[in-house]
This record gives sequence, structure tokens and C-alpha cells, in this order.
Amino acid sequence: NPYAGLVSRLREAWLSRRTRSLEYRMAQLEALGRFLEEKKQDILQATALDMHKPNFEAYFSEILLCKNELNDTLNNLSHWMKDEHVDKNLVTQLDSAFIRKDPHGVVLIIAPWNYPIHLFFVPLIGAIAAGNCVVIKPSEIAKNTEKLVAEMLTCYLDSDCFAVVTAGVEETTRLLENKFDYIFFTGVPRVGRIVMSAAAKHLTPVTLELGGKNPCYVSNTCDVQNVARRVAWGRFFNAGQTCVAPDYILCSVEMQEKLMPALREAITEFYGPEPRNSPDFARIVGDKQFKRVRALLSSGRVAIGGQTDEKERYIAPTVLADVQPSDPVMQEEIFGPILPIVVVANMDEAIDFINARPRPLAIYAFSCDSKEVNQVLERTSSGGFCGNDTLMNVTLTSLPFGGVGNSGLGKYHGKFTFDTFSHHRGCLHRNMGLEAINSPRYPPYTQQKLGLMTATFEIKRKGMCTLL
Amino acid sequence: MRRMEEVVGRARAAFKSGRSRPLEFRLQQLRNLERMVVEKEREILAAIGADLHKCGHNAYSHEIMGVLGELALAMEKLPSWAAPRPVKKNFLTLRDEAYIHPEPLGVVLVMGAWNYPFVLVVQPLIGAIAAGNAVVVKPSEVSEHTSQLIADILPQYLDRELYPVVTGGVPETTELLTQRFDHIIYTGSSAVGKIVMAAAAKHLTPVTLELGGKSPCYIDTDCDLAVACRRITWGKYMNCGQTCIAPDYILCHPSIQSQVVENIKATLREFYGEDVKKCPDYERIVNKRHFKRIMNLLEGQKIAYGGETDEASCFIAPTILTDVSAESKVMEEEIFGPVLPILSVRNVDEAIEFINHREKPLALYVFSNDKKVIKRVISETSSGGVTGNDVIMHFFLATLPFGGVGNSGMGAYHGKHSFDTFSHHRSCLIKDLKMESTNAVRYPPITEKKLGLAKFFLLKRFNKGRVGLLVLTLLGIVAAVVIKVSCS
Repeated sequence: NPYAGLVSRLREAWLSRRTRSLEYRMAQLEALGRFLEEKKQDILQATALDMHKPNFEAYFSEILLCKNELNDTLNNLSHWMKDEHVDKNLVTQLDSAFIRKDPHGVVLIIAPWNYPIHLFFVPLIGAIAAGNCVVIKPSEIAKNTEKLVAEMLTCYLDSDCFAVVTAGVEETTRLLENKFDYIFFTGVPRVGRIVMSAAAKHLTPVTLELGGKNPCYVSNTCDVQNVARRVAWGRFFNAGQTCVAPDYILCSVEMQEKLMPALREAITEFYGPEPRNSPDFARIVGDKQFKRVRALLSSGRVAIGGQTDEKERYIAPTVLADVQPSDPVMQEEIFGPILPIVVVANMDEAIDFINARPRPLAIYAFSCDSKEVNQVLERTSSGGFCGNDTLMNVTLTSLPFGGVGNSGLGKYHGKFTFDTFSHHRGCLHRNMGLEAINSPRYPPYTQQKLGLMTATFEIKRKGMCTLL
Repeated sequence: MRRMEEVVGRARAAFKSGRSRPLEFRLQQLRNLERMVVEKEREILAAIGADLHKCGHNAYSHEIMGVLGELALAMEKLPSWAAPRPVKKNFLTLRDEAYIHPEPLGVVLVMGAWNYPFVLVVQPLIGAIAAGNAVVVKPSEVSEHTSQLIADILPQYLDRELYPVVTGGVPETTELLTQRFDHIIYTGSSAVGKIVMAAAAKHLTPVTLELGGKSPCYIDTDCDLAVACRRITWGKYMNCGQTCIAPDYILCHPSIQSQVVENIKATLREFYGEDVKKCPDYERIVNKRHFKRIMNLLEGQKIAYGGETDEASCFIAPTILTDVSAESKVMEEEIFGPVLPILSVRNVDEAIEFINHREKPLALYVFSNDKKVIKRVISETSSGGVTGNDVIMHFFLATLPFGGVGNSGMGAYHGKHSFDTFSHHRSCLIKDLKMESTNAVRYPPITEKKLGLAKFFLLKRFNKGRVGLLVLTLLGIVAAVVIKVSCS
């Protein structure tokens, strides 16, 4: 077990109770802030090398959103850490009853390559805020970012309590043999199952942020140009390599007609006539992924884009029309800059289509009629939902971010990350005196005692007269 | 074994029909469940009595009372629990609707345990119904009378397709676990908990595992021993020690050990009389296998009190062991019987160290007149839950989440925590299709100006004051107008 030494070292640091005080946690979090600030250029450079991530996108997702989460936590941590006092029943009226937020211990964060800083950084904020020791395993696929994190992150943090592990598939499997007190995994469902099975051996709780095909329903009553812009933005951000990107459109054949020129206009507006030359458009992260996405182009009919360049791993912002549910592009999460349009007769058909498939991480619905948006919301299930826009639901720190069913379990962002990495411990601190109050519960049992117990323990329905 | 597939399939189809979702339906089912508990009270008490030799009063206060309380709470609070929960918005979403929408998960599996065979199945069932799910109920086969009763009466009161009861032993349970569920709640041992979680992993099913462990009980020298020992005696020997949150063992200074023993002895006589075997208020071990298991733990131990047994009736007298070594068999596994080992520690530091070197327990108890001692023990240890200066009682407060941590489990339930456990908390952001100008900042092509505006709008500042927020909001609106004008 090559990682046993590392894990036991962190566990010893954990037992020393160093990570518990508010001051310690704030100091580590502030150091994380300095990492973001001082290594900003390195981060922009590394992500540009890894997937040609445009500076603005990298700044937005890897720096700005991370800073927001960090500041939200720094602003509120002392409040979140406080014991939460709860309502009491009659028998506990004179006691102290509260929920204590305890750290779990030594936790593991496994991050993917598409937002390689953000997707370990935001969980890390909550893990540190909750008082844990952390092992971070960044993705080996985003090689430059992995190197940056391995070399530079631990200089900012207490290296007794926080460690970065660089590992491929084999080593990660060995890493998972160790006992952790929590595992936070972001990646594909197939690996999510492997992580959860490994966790089961140690009864380790998990959060799995997975994926799926996020449907995007576009109604006939909508402002077509605005829809096209918002959908194009969400789809082609990071060249489509976003777990909450709109994966495919569901609309009527008339709307498909209208959307096509609007999408073409939006794409040109964003990336110019030759997206390959735009500094604002990313590339596919690796050759294996490039080949996989390129193969999906042979579905339906290429209405916009379709150009590729293997050397650059460039796939043009592409829209496919007349796509059939049985086409290759509809069998897996696309995770690339391809937007298929699947024609449905009406909203009911769109809802049935969505419900016949595994529950996705996000569902999008566009309509000027708020009743329609509501219908899609009420009659479907997904991790999250956004009406009349894409992606934005995950930028609000007060909304929990997570999947359901195949798209994951657990949630985070904002206070939810802190709660994820804490154990909520129910505590009742009773009075040693007033023993008389307890006497109805002791044997020998009598009918009278039972009556008294019922009166003091029970929660009565409001508005019901006890005389009856 | 296609039966499991059929039962679960029917429940899923029933869930997909949507009928378990309207609040009125859920409330109706909960009302029916309440009627069942009231109308079938005699039969329920008799079944529990047959399984555990438990007297009616005990069965009522341990199992029926809690269930009626949960039902009353759920029925009263359901509309507020199920309502959308608005969240705080940022500048860009000020004009939007942002809320968390609690939704049912789908088909929930409830696996009960034999020690409190009715409440450990019905209490999760209440939360799962309240959250709008279909529920497959699998009571423990070890408590066979209660299991059979539940299988008989539940379908008489509840929707049969949505809430089927499945009975059976290990082979049936194994088959059941191959099916896909949307949440599994299991109450039982850590060993089986691992099996349940491994089965759940194949379907990415979230789990709540209510397991066990050795719940320590530290008695400080500065303490009213008579009161402390009476409370401990109550919690330890109820249900013949077969309680997941029973105080498993005592840690105390050797100088008070004999006083502790004397106090517990006196309390036992007060509770159960001179002949505990004849007392109707004292239960039995559930079966021969567990009887033998507990007998095994007594091997080589110094019995300070009790120790009488009768295998034919699975009777084990309330027993106290003293000068127990930390390495002995009785300290290796959860006792789950009426045997109370007392171990010596010199002070609270030693007690804390002792506790922290073992798996995290489901419950932790500390008795002291000194509030600081209690606070210290809570702060320097970890456990599912805690009661200070008493035992068991944190279980009865529905506002406290009830669950384990580490080896004692994951997840929690009771009261609103049940509703939340069996719901999916779906984040919803509903924007306007108009006001496109505020979005312009994020679209390529990116300019320095756009980057600056993005930072201005989106970056949360550290320690901003409320006035600052107002000013920034106003500036934001002004800026939005400015952008609209400059982009048109």
C-alpha cells in the first residue's frame, strides 16, 4: 500500500487537533486566497496549455468563481461553525439541545480535468473550513495544471495536514484502498461506482458529482436570438467540456428552422467567422477525447461548423440538425462543442423524452411563458434546473450543486460544502437535578406512568383539544 | 426470485404514475398509517411482546409513542417542509427566482432491525412517504412476529403498490438488494452495512446507514452518582441491553467503581424487584444465537453482580463486570445485551484518549456536575450523537438529527431530517428571457472592458458591509443601463 504512510501521517496530524480552531482554518483559507492571487498567471498559462482555455474563461471559472466561494466562506465561517440550537419538547425544556458541526477527519478530494483548479479548489475550501485534513488528487489528464498544483499548492498550506497526490488510474485505485473519513469525487458515473464500492469497504461517506446528458427544451414562444446566445454560450464554453453544459436541444421542427440562423449569428458574434482563430474558443483536452467527440459528428446533418483539426485538437462550434434518438451523439454525454437538435412535436413529448432517460445533472427550459417553464420543472427530475438560461444556476453560492440518480449524490457550493464535510452531531446536555421529571420512564411500569410519559414526550397535533 | 423484481417494478410504475406526489395524497396515507397504529395497537404490542418478551407498557413507550409523535409532526409540518425554499441572490440574479425545490427521490428501500422491530421500520417509512416516495418495506426476519404483522396490516391501510412489504431472510434480502432503488436506509450491523453500501454503489444509490458500535459512558468523580447510575441503569438494561444507543461500557476512576456498582445494584432492585426473572418489565435476548454470543463475552470476566442465565428462555440477568481489561473479548464487539463492563481511567484525559483510539460510536455519554468537563468531552471526541448527564434521550428529540459517523453509520433522520434525507433538493434558477444586456458582459469576444465589468459584477468582496451592498446594487443597476445603452 504505497499511500499508507501518507494517510497515517495526515491522520496523526488530525489527531493532534491542529485543524480545529477557527483561527487555523481561516489562516489556511486565506493562504488559499493568496495562492489564487499570486499564481493567477501560472493558472491561466497552465490551463491554456492543457486545453487552450481562453483567458476569460479561465479567469471566470478558475479564479473569479473560486474567489467568490472563498470569500463567502471567510465571511461566514465563524457563524457556520457555531452550535445550532434546536427546538425542544416538553421533557427537554430545561436542557441544552444543539447540533454540533464536527469535522470528519482525513478526507480525499478527486478532481477531473475540465475545470482543473475549480473542481478541487471549491471542495477544498469546504473541507478546510469544516476542520479536516485533506488529500487532493488533481487530474493527471490536465498535465500542466496537475504539475502546478503538486508543486505550488502545498507551499501555501500546512503540509502536515494537506497533501497533493499525483496519480494515474492504477495509483488512484491503490489510493482508494486506504480508509478516508470522506471521499469527494467529480467525474464520470462509471468511475463514480468504483469510488463508491471502494468507499463501502470502509463505510466512508461520499459525494459523487457525476454527469449525464443535460436536455435543453426550447418552446415555440421565445425570443429566439436571446435563446440562441444563451444556449450557444453554455454549450461552447470550454469547447463544450462542462458537466452542466446544455447537451442537446429539444424543440419543434419550426423552432429548429428559426434557431439555426440565430445560432449561426451567435457563434459568429462570439468567435468570428473563423473560430479557430478566436482567442476565446478552447480545444479538446487530449487525443483520446478528441477522437471520441469527433466520431459523434456522424449523427444527423451538420448544419453549422463540423470542421476539425487533429493536430490542434480543434473541433469547430457545431450544430447538428435532424438528429435521431438512436444516433451515436445521443448515446453518451457529448462533452464537446457539438449541439444536436432533436425534434419533438410539443412540450409533452419533450418531457416524456427527458423522463425516459437517466436523470441529468441539469435541465434547461426556455420559454416566454412562465407556465411552460414551470411545467418542465414540475414534471421532470434533475440535479438542478435553470429556466431561460444555461450554466448560471451553478454560479450562485446559495444554491446546492449536485446530481440525482445517475448524475450523482450529495451536493456542495457555499455553506453546502461546509455541511458536506461536517458531521452534524445531535447533542443533548441535560440537567443532573430535577430527577423527579424522569420518574415516569422508570420501571416498575404502571398505567399512570404511561399517561405521564405520553404527556411529556408526545408532540400533539395543533388544534386538537386534549379534552376530547 | 423474480418476485423482488416484480414488487420493485410495480412500486416504480406506481411512483411514475405521479400519485404519491400531491401533498393531499401523502397526508392521506400518513393519516391511514396513524389509524393503523391506533386501531391495531393491541396486535402490535402482542407481536413485539412475542418477539422480545416485552411488556405492553414498554412496547408502547418505546415503539408506539415515538411513531405517533413522528406522524403528528410530519402531518403538521409537511406543507412547510415541501414548499420551495428561496435562497439569497447575487447582483446578477436579483431579478430572478432562485430557490431549492424539494422533490421525491423515487423508490426508497427501508430495511428494519429486530431490536425495535416496529419503530425502526415505521419511523423511516413516515419520512419517506412524507417526501413523496414509493417505499419498499423490509422488516427484519429475526423479529418474526412483528415482521409478519407488518406484512399483514400495512396493505390494509396503505396503497399496496406504492408501499409493499417484503419479508424473508438473507437470500431474499440479497435478491432485493440487486434491484435499483433511489435511496436505501438500513438499520443494523456495520458488517451488513458494508454489504448494503456495496450493493447500492452498483446503482449509485445514496444510503443512510444506521449502524452501531460501543457507546462509551464516562462518569466523572464530580457527579451525583445516585442519579447518574439510575439513568444509566435505565438506558443499559431496557430491552435487555439490545439497544443501538445503550451505554455499552463505563469509564470511571477506580475509586468510585464500587460506589457505581452499589448504585446500579440498588436501582436494579428498585426497577425489577428481587427476582428479575419473574418481573414482567424485563425482556429476553431475542434468540439462542445472540444468547450464546453474549455468554461468550462473559468468559473469564469478574462478575460483580448478576450473571444468572437460562438458555431455554434466553434469559440473562442484568450483569455488571468490574476491572475489565481493554483487550478482553467483551471490549471487542458491541455487547447488545444486559452486560455492563466497568473500566478504570485515571481522569477525563485518559477517558478521551481511550474513546478516540476506537471506532466512532453511535452515541456517547458523559456524566459530570462540571459543565466544562462535559463540553471538553464533546469537543474532543466524535460520535453519532451525545447525551450529557443522561442516556438515550437525544434519540427522542425529533429536531436533533439521529445517525452515526464513521463505523457507526452515515446520514441521519428523525423529524424534518427524515423528510430531507428522502428528498432531492433541486436547485432552481428562473431567469427572464429579456434583459439580455446584463448578459452581454459574459459573451465573447472578450475585451479588457468586459473583464473589468465582470469582476465588478461578480466578485464577492471579503467582509462587505450592508451599506456597501446597497451601494453596489444601485451601481449595478446603473451599470446595466449604461451597458444596454452602449451596446445598442
